Amino acid sequence: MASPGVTGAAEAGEGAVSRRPKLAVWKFASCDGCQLTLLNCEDELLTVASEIEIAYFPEATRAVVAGPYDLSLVEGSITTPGDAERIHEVRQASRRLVTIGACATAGGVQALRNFADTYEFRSAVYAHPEYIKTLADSTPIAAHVPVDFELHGCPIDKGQLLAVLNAFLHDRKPPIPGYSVCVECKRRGTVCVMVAHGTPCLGPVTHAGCGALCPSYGRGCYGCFGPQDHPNAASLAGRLTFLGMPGQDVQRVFRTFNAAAPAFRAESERHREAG
Amino acid sequence: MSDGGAPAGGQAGNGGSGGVSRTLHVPMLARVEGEASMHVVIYDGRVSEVELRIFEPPRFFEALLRGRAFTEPPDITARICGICPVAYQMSACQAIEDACGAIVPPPLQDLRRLLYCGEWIESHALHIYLLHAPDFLGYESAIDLARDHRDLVERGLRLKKAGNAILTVVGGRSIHPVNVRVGGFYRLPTADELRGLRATLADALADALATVALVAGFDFPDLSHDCEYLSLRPAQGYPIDGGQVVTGGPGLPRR
Repeated sequence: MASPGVTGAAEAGEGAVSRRPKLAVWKFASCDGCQLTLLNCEDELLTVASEIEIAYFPEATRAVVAGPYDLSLVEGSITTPGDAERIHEVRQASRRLVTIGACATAGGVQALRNFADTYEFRSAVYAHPEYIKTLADSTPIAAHVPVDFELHGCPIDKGQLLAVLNAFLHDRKPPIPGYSVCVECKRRGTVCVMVAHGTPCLGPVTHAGCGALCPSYGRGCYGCFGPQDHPNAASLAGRLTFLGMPGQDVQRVFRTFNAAAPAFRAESERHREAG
Repeated sequence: MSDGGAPAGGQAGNGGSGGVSRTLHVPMLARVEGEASMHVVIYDGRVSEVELRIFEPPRFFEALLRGRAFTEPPDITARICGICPVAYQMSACQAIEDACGAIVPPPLQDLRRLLYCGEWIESHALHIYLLHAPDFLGYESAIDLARDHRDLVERGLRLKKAGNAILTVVGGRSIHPVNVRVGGFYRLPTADELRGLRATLADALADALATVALVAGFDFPDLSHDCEYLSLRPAQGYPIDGGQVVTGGPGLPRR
């Protein structure tokens, strides 16, 4: 067991009861990239660990401090009968629950099964499909339990993760804007790849957070942060069609890492017959 | 929680024969990639049963790649693993280039190798310092380890950050790089961006050598496996990004 409150108690002064908030990190169906984002805070990790007690985080520690937890970060989507039960235990043990990443907030790339026959998928991949327990759909955490905040991204952004941790530590609203990648692109001074070069770009409908990376590398945004707060996907799809993109391609650009997010799902379904 | 917990040991006498059996159950293997549990039974001082249960949910990448454009697999397969996305991006690119008979010019191959080395440095520093060193040195975690050996953990984090710096300059970001495409890159890093890595990497070399000195002193169990090894074998250098498939024994054809 981790020795509790070593730093906190020393700093709190004599007589003060100090308890660092307890953090738990949980994994469901996912790639580990979002929880790795926490370990990628190389400059901040030891400071964070002195302010927060990392009580449950199997990727980082074998120590297990019993719940309840002040804050749970949940990575991954629900894809198995066991996980559909486990998420309720996690919710019960958590004062606040924040989902991190496209899998937890939208079902992730594995939600492409939602548009297909999952049992055919299982047979296509595994020699013994009967050993594989899986649900027909990959669903976000919020479809199963109440969620206090959703942090988007595939993967999430390190700066945004630290901002969310900080906000929950101090009981205030996380400073995460819901506008589009276009705002970040303008701020960065990148020439619009769609206007200037006719490169298809999901920036106008995609949630900010990455810092408008892809356009700065000369490619269009591929929507890995999911829909922004007020996306006009139909208008963007019209523009993509105008640029000469066939209907089946328009469908596919909305069906990647956030395919089951309602705004992207609805737009992709409008183009079902187009191909 | 049903899926959490430190190793739970149990001891039970075996009536009759006088042997003693012990069970070791780890409901969640910690500090590994993926999710698994382990159940070990030891009878009379010898391991008689080992059960490894992997409950990492399947995600069906092979199936969901069907019907996608040839440009998409590098981004999609990256999501197999957030710790080693470049491995999948490179494999996806090479598979498609191989199928199309496309030749990637040597300077782009060098840049790919640099990107891949960034991932190796990041991923190995993560494994050595944050995942495995705590086991060798008797700590619960790297954070726990840092209470007694802060310099050591800071060195690991510095080395890890150096790998991530390469990934960011060449790939755009460290997890799921955005700059990799079939045939090469979307944008080449500028000379200034690459020069910016020089000082970081010079320091990382010293940290890497100190790491070798550290892990060479770890107490590794004396264990050998009777199994067949599989590797790539390039004409020269380490088998990172290409080469022929070779095995350490009979059974698999050489390609």
